[in-house]
Amino acid sequence: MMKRDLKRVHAAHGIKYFAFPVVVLLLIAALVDQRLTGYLEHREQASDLQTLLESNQNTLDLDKKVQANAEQVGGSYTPVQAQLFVANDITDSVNAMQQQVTKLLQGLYFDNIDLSDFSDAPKGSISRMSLTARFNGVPQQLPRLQIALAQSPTLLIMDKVEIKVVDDTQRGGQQLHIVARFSGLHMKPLPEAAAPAAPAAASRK
Amino acid sequence: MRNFSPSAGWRHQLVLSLSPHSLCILHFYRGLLGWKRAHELSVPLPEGDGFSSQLQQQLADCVTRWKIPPATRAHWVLAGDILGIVPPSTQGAGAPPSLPFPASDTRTQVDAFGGAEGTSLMWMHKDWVTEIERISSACRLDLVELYARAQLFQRMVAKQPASLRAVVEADASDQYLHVYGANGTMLRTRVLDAGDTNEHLAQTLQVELAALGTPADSAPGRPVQLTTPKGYAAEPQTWADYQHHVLPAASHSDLLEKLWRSDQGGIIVRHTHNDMVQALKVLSVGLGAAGLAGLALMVWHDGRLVRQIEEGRDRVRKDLPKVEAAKLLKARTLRMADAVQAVNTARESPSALGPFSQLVAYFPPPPATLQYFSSDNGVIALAGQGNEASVKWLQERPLAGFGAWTDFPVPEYLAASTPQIHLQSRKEAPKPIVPAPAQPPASGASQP
Repeated sequence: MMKRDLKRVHAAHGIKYFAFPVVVLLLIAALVDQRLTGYLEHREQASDLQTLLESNQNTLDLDKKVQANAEQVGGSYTPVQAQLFVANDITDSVNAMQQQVTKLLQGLYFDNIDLSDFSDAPKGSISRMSLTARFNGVPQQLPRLQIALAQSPTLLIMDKVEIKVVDDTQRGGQQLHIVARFSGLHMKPLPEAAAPAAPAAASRK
Repeated sequence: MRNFSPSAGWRHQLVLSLSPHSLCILHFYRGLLGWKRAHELSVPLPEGDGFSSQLQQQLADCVTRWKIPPATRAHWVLAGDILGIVPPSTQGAGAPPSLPFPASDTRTQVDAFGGAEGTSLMWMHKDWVTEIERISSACRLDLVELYARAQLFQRMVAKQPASLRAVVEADASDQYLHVYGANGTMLRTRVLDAGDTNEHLAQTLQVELAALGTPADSAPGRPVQLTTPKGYAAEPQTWADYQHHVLPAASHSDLLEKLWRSDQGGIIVRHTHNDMVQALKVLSVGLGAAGLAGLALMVWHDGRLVRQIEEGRDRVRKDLPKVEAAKLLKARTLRMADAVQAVNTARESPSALGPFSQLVAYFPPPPATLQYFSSDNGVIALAGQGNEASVKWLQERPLAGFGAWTDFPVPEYLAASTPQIHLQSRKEAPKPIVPAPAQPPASGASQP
């Protein structure tokens, strides 16, 4: 029945009527194609913008909590700030630590000071710098070293130590040959605090 | 006045097969999955004057019983006693067809099955057309097309090569003979007499074939193909001149449905293909309207998106200082927290020199002397000169927070001096805090 009618329509009118829907579809497709690229770009832009707006809103919503935390952490941070080696480049901090260790050991009259094996291990925004110091001294200097480390304004930690009693070839008798691993903490300077923002998040709700 | 419903022809159709003594009715219904056969019925019809009235009565009953809506299209398949075939003229292509009645008294249609050349003519007397139209109208049906019964087997016989093909078929009350040409076109169709079996049938067939003349493409090596139901042609000598085949068993209803679904055409009473033209036009307009609506929707939404983007950018620009300040504060806070935690952790870790001070305070008296000390990652080691008492002294006094002294390999640089003291100890893990027991320990229990 259907086939019979198809055959008769084709016999009577050729492909004219069968082409109608195809032509209409092609015309619509051509019209859609003209606008589709721009439309899809706008969709993507709108989607990206929506994500950005939501992210900004979350940031603003959390700002009050962040401010409260900042005040709380700021209180603890102020006393520890001076104990860190602060520099934009960690090399500057390593040099500063090297100078401080040298100054400390020289100040306690240790001899033959040699620093080597520099390393750093970042954890979060803080890097732990380490160096190995080799120096000679006498037993009475060690308690002073321990006190000096504890009182150092910038944090210096002795991670490990090896002490050998060796002959003092220059002055005769015996002396201590000490190999110690010192560590300090490096941090980049904190970003400058901006002017306090108005509680925008609250006004948006 | 007829109640015409445009949807009836789309959802219901009837196929009626009329033979001298019976009427077979098929009702097709179009559902979601296409056309399906809803009802079928075969009823006997009497001969003589009561034929037409009984035919109409039976059809009307079915229409009522099956709730066939008005204006349902009806296709009639008619036996050779009503719808005849005029074979292609042997006198040339331009010769007029040899109709048994004046052309003005008949309705004809070319049998287009065999192609443009050598086509037969289906014909029917106008009185019969009028009668069938009347019966259909009385039953509120639209007669659309009339088919020859021979068309039921046209496709089947066209598949086998032969110059002439004859098909004998039978139903409960009648038997029929159809003859086809080499290209499948119908040459002859007729209702056989009741006595036309075996010898009589062979004679009838010979007469019919002789009346058709010698087909142009017949050849001695290609005998006439005869297809009959099983049980016919029992005596081989009678049918020796024919290439005999058995008619495949198929119900009349299936054959009718196959013909109805095919592209084979009969004598057209009402053209229905304009409905398809209309449907294609509606489809085109519908597609156009839907497409334009979709396009308009897209343009409208695009405009909304552009406005949304502009508003969003304004808002981002406006919020930027606050957001930047908030992000900066968050970054500062996180870094301050990191710094505080790192310093606290470093402060809490014991200095490697701490155990040395303890050791010096508790070191055994002379002759014991310390020659080596190391502290690394919670393990302290020492070596020095002394005696057994010195070693015992140390072992009785473990350092606070450290475990018992164990043997320590003598450092290589001291190997020559063979130190008596060479011990090591590991820092103990902090003891977990346990709640105080409810009952005091029994007297005499040893203290740790």
